[in-house]
Formats: sequence, C-alpha cells, structure tokens
Amino acid sequence: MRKALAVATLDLRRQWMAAGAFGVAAGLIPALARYIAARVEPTNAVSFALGVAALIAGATFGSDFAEGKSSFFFARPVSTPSIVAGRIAALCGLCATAVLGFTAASWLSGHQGLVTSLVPITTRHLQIVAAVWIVSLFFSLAIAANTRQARRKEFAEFLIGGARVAVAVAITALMLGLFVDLTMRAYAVPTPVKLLTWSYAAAAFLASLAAIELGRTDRLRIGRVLNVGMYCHGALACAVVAIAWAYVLHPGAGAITGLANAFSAPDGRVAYVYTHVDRGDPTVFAPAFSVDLGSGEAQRVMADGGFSGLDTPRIWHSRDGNIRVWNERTPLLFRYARRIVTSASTFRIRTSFGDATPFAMPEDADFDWNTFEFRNLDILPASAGDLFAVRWSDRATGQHVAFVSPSRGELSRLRLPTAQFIRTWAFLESTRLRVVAQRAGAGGLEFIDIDTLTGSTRTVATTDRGAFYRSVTLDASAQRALLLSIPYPSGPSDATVSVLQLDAPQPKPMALYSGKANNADASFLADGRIAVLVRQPPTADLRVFSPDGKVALTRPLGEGFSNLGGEPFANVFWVSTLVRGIWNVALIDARSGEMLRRLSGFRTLDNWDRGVPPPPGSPGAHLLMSTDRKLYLLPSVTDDPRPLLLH
Amino acid sequence: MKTDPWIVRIPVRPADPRPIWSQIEEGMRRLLASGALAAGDPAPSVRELATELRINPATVSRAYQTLVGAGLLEVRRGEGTFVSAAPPSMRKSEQARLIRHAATTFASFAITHGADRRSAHEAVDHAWDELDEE
Amino acid sequence: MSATVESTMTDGAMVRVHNLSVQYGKRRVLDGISFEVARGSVYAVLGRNGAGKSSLIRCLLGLQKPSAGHVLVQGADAWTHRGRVLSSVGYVPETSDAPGALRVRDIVAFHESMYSRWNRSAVADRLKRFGIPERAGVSTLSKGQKALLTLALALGNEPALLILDDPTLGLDVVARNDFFSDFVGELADHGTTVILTTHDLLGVEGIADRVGILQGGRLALDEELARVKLDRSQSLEQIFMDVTGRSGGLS
Repeated sequence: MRKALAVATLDLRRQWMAAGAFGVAAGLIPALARYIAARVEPTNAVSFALGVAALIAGATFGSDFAEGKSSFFFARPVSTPSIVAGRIAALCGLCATAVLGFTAASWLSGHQGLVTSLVPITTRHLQIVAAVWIVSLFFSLAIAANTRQARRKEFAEFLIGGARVAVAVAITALMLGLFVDLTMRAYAVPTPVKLLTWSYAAAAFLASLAAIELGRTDRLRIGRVLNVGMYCHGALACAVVAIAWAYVLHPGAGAITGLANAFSAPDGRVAYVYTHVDRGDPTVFAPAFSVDLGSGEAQRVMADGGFSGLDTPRIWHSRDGNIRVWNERTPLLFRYARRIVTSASTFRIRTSFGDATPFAMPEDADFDWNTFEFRNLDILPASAGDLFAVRWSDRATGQHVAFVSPSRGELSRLRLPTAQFIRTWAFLESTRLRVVAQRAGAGGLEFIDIDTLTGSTRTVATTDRGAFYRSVTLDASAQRALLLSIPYPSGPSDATVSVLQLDAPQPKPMALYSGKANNADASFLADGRIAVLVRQPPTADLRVFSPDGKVALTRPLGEGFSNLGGEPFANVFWVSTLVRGIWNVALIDARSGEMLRRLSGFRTLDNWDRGVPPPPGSPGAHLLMSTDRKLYLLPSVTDDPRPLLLH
Repeated sequence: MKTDPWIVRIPVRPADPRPIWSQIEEGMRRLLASGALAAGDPAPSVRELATELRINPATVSRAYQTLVGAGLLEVRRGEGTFVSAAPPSMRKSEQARLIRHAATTFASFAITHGADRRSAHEAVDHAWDELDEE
Repeated sequence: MSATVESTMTDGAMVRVHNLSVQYGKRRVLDGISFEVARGSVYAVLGRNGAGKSSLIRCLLGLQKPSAGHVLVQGADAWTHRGRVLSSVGYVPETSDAPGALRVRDIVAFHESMYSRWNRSAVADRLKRFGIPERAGVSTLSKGQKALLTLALALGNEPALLILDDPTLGLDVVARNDFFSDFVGELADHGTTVILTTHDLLGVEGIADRVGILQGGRLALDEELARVKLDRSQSLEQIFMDVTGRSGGLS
C-alpha cells in the first residue's frame, strides 16, 4: 500500500543512519576482538547489529509518542494497520541497512573476500529481530504512557496498585511453579518453554497493536490497554498452564499406552508399573501406577521416575510388603514452601492399612537444591514398622547408613567407605540390619550386621578377593546367601554358584556348582531349595539343590534359557531367555525339572526390591510382560495369559 | 497619486462592537462620498480586501452585497466589481433621517455619560476633523 | 456517507459535536458540550489554558475517544472513521509535529502520499513565497517558518475542513502576517470551513463568524460573533474576560 510505504520511507529516512552505524560497529567487532585475543563469532556480531536495528525500529511508536509527534501520523488519513505495516517494512529496511553496514565493515577489516564476509541470516537471527522488536515496541509504549504523572496519587491508590501487583506476582509465581514442574517432569525438549515465551511475545505484540489503535494519542488509554492485554494474557496463561499441569501429570489409567517397566510388590497383591501415556514426552515422563492384581484397577502413584527417566526406583517395600515408602513428586513450588514452613521431606510412608504419612529424612542426606528433594537414597523399611534404614553416598564423606524412626527420629548412623558398595541388605529383626558389602574391583564380600540402636557393626562372614559376584541373594530369613560369580562379558568362563550359611559358627561359602558357562543364574526356591541354571549355547542345564547343598535334580532344558524367574505356583518356577529380540518363558516343575509350558513373546518381571520375589501362588508371581509392553497375568499353568491394564 | 493601502482607507477596528461588515460598508460609503473612489473605478476584490484587512472574506462579501443592493457597487460579469457609474444620491429626506437617527444615538450616549452640550459639540468637531484628513 | 448519519443534522453543518465529554481518570476535561459548525464558516474556540481546547481538537481529529458523545465531520464519526474523515481535513498543530531529523521535502513527499487530492504546485508555490527551502532540515527552520510550513502542508489537499490549534502562538509580526494572508486567501478561494483555537483574540475578531468559549469543561458561550458584540457592545476581548470570570472589565 502506498501509504504504508510512505510511513516506511519516512521512518527509514530518519533511522537508517543509526542502524547503519551500529551495523558498521558490529562488523568491526570480530576484527577488534582478534586484537585482544578474544573470539567473537560473526554470526553473533550480526545478531547484535540486527538486535540494535530492531530496538530502534520497535521504539518508534513509543519515542514518537513521548515527543508528542504521534499526531503526525494519526492526524493524517492513514489507518493504524497501514502505519504498523509501514513500521514493519521499515524494520526490514533497517535490518537490511544494518547487515549492509556490517558486511562492509567486516569485509574491509577482515582481510577476506567479500563473498566470505557474508554472514548467512538464519532463523535464529529472525527470531532475535522479532523478539527484540516486540519487546522494544511494548516497553517503549509502556514507558511513554506512564511518564508525566499529572497529579500525585492518593494513598489509597498506592494500596490498590500495590495489592494488584502483589496478586499478579503471586499468580505468576504459581503459574511458573506449575510450569516448571510440568516441563521438568514431563518434557525433554524445550518446546513448552519456547511456547510460553512466545505466547508472552505474541501477547505483548497484540496488546501493543490494540493500544495503538484504541489509544492513538491518549496516554492513559494506551497504558490501560497494555495493562489489560497483559493481565488477560497472564490469566489465560495461568489457566492453560494449570490445566496442562493437571492434565499431563495426572493421567488416569485410560491414558496408558504402554509400559516402560513393572514389578510386583513383595506381598504379590499389587504391582507397580511405570507407563507411557498419551501425553508428555515418553523419554522423560513415565508416570507410576499401582495395579491391584485382584481387581485390575490401576491407581496413580505420584512416584514417577527421576528426571532422567527410570534411573532409580522410587518405591520401596518392607520384606513382607506391609510397609511402602515412596518419594512423592509434589510440585516443586510447594516443596519450597513446605520445606520452609514444616521442614517436611517429599517422602511418604504408607502401611497396608493406613494413610500416607510424611517421613523426615536425615538432614544431611543427599539433598538436591535444584529440585528440592533428597535423591539417590536407598531405603529399606523394617517389616515390623516404625524403623527404616536409609543409605546414601556422599563424594566427600562416603557412604552413610542411618536408622530412622518416624516416631523416635534418627536412632543411629554408620559410615562406610564409599569403596565398600552395599550389594544387598535385609533386616534380621528390628534391631539388626544385615548388609552385604563388596569392596570395589574384584574385592570379596563382607557380611556385616549392624545394630540399629547403636550403629555398631559386627562382621559375620567374608569371602575371598578376586571373585566377581554377578548376584548376591539373601533368602527370606537372611541367614543364607546365594553367591553367583561369573565374569563379564559373557563368553565361556568359569562360573561358580555357592551358598553361605551365615548362622554357622565359621561361615564359609560352599560351592554348589563350578564349571564353564556362557551365562548362569541362581535363586532360592520358596521351600529352601536352590535352583541353578547354567547355559552353554545352544542348550542350558538346570540343577536343583536341596537346602543342605546336595544335588537333587539335574536336567538339560534343551533351549538356551538363561534367566530364572520367580515361582508363580507352588513348585513351579519360571525360566526365560531372549532369542533374536523375542522373549521366551517356560514353566518348570521344581520337583521333576520337567518343562510344563512354553510361551513365546513374554518375559518375567524384574524384582527391583533386591530380589525379594512375591510369594508363590500370589497374583504378583503370575505377572508377565509381553514384547509389546503390555502386562499379563497367567491364571494357571494351562490357561492363556490374561491381559491387565491394556486390552 | 499614491494611494494608501486599504487597511488605512477603510479602517476596521475589531474591538469596535459594530459588526465588521457594517464597518466595511460604512468605510466604502465614505470613500465613495469623498470621491476617493470615483464612479467606474474597480472596487477591491473580496480576496484582496479580506487579505489586507485580515478579515473573513465572507464578511467582505456580505458588505459588498449590501453595497450592491444599495446600488453603490455593481458586478460586471467576467470583469469584477466596480463602483457604479452613477451612484444614486441618497434622497435628501432619507439622508436627513439617517443623520438625525445617528445624532439621537450620540446625544443619548453623551447625556448618559454626563457630558454637556458644549463638550458634545467639541467631540463632533474633533471627530469630523479626524475623518476629514483622508 | 455512512448509514449512521443522523438525519436530524442541520442542513449544511460541516461538523456536529454532540454531548461530547472527555475524561482523563477522575478529571473531566470536557463535560457534554454540543455545537455545530456550518459549512464555509469560521468557528473560533476560546478558553483559558487547560480549558479543554486541545482535547476538543483531538476529538475532532479522531485522536481521542470521547468518554461520551460523539463528533461528526461531514456525517462521519471522527473516532471510528478517522481515515475517511481526515482525507478532507487539514490540521495545523500548535507546534510542528513533524519528527526531527527530516528534510522539508521528505515531509512534503509523505503528505503527498497520504492524500488522494494534492496540489503540488500550490504547495511548492507557498513554500517559495514563505522562503522555506525544500532541502532544509525541519529542525533548522525558525519558529515562524515552521508554522508556515505546517500551514502550507495543511492546505495542500485543499481541505474542506481546516483545523488549527493556536496557530500563531509565538510568531513574530511578519510571520503572522504571512500566515493570515495565506489563510484568508484560502478562505476566499475555497470557502473552507475552519475551526480554530487561539489566544490571539484581536487577530481572530475579524476572522471568526462564530465563537465558542470553553469554561469549566462547558461551552459558556456559543454565538455568532457579530451578534454577541452588538448585544453586549463589547469587543471580543472584553466578552472573553467577562465570560471567563476575570473581574474588572477594561474601560
């Protein structure tokens, strides 16, 4: 349009020199930087030049207004859209001028050819131009509208103004808190942040346009429209963020599209699943649900995986499954407030018959000041209740094991060298914790009993150095330990399975099997016998030992099954293997070694709670996960697996 | 003969309560009566007079209309406004009536403001002398 | 003409102001004023400083939204149809509103693009007569030259309505003379309707057909100038003093 061009021409005529000058200055910066041995990328120097051009162009409305020159345009028959369009055209012209100045200066000072002095203009540059222009437009208008307070304000106006600002700040803080919570927990990419930022930019732009059209030369009105515009946007952003926060972070069971991981509670009646849902980013967002295995109902448990996904379990159980501890993912904002007010941690305890209660952590445990929570903790509730072992590692001070009681506070504490890594642990009674520690590298194992009241230790047994223990398992009573040693990587190597009776006077590992194997697995059966699976491709051998270590059964399994699972039914246990990307499981009779059933496309669940399997016959022991990440329950040896959760 | 600018020959005093068109009309009449504007002379254009006197051309226009209506000016199409070839002389009786009317107004004014007959006569003489200087 | 033209508008009224109120926050600057300006007439708006003259001008130009009432120029609402209204309006502000650092010819070129009807030769002629070089920067012009420039620009589109906001403020005698002679010439040639605000009561007495005096946000007076002078036997200055409440008239 002719009129828009006239506006553009006029603006360009009065501003091109400034833009060009800054462009030239920016063009000299990389050369000057070289003199002081610093490095400035040409693309960043161009950003600076463009930013200044955008700043000058954007401030035109406001500066004209402040100088009383805005009537020059508005008292002429040119519509507001034409003026704005002309100003945007002037912006393009000014940017071009700045770039020209930059290129010329860069060429003359850079000892390069003209073509190589050209800096490509990327979308990032355009984003900078747009953002700076919008911010400059908005703030220059706001400043111009607010100068020259013609009269002194009354005290009441100060109060109201102050109250309004306080409300706005509070709402914005709330929104930002929820927004941060949402983006950190559910999104890996910065898209939500970009969206929110650009929504503010868009709001500032639209508010400015509205202020110009509705306010024209009326100072008060311009200020008012800007205010209303931004408050409206703020309220809208709040609402959107709040709704998004509620929607994304609180999915119901119907939103589940697949499982990331699952494990059964020790009591076998509840399973915990980390799921992928139809919202959020699955690489970081894996909401946790508890699944009642009787009814199949799933309930949200706010104990999602850490920010890096599923790094550590966040739900811990006592051995009998009665006590559950989890790390509640409260909104970051409330954590700050709660901590200041009540100094409570984010940890919660629930017994199988009670409500969730907060759990105070030792103050010096590993506390993440970014997310305001304790992290990298390992917790073991005692079955009797009211006693928890909490373990964490500090680079400076080593490993700590503390005994904490919700009612009595911290009872005692123990420090272990970091090099002495705890492999597994179990309470003997509520006064004693048995810990299996391994010295780093090829160190041997050390079985240590810790008095929970005093923190004093007593070494019960040790093993020789030099063995690499793939797994160390304590049985239900914690008086027997099953040790499997086989070096990595898998290839034919020496595998040894030994059992250690810890309540013997001089406990020494008794070897059950020793031989070459590619892979091996060993576990206690519910009746005290020990199953050992040794795989030498393409087959595998199953051995079952009596509780006192005598061979009760040896049987080849034919196929290369390499993992022992739990016991779904009395005297029946799982074995599984992964062949060419497909899991296969088989049910083995514990007495005869006979393979009762074979299922393809399923695998058994991991036992995260340090190998505490659910009791045989309990629903938790019947759980399977399919290759397509669905949860199944096998009702009996002969029935087909029944899908849970996803159908 | 050098002529004075219109602003001198037709004194228009904005502060004067009399309507401006009336002042112009009167000024023109005086010029015509004194012979400064002879029959057949071109009258100043509305634009010229308005610009010089710094008054609204519409006002000048109105004055001219009155003068044209009274036969003192005539509009010759394509040529402009001119003093009438034969400006009609006012009938003596009409003239006398007007003068008596003006005199009554003046006398009443003088009496209200406490002047006596002698100072009133002096004022008339003084004003006559002043106007006659043109 | 827009469909919202009021049919009760007086015949020939160029501008109709109806119940116009302007309020800034708590301050009521104009309080329900109404008046009409007949086509081809000159309407002078007088008032003490701060009486609301500038706000009235801004409402006439569509720069200010009235808090109440409306302003119709040639039947169109000035606020909602600013673009259309202003295409036949010339505006002479109190001080030149041209942004600094521009040349005269840039400003002239800008105005030429703004109006569909533009008399380029008349504008150039005026600038020459006023002694304003086209290449000069606007900021280098004297006060008088700036005022004459704004007049030349305002007359460039041969407007039907001319709005002047205290145009001769601070001008010397010569500049004022030049200003008035061109201004009156425009009136004679085109019968332009004029609304002006001023403090120069003496200068405007010969020009104005009708006078409005703003006092306390209201029109204390809205009369034909010749009639009100006759009725009161006073000069405009005396009338103004009386109406705006200054004690002791001039003798």
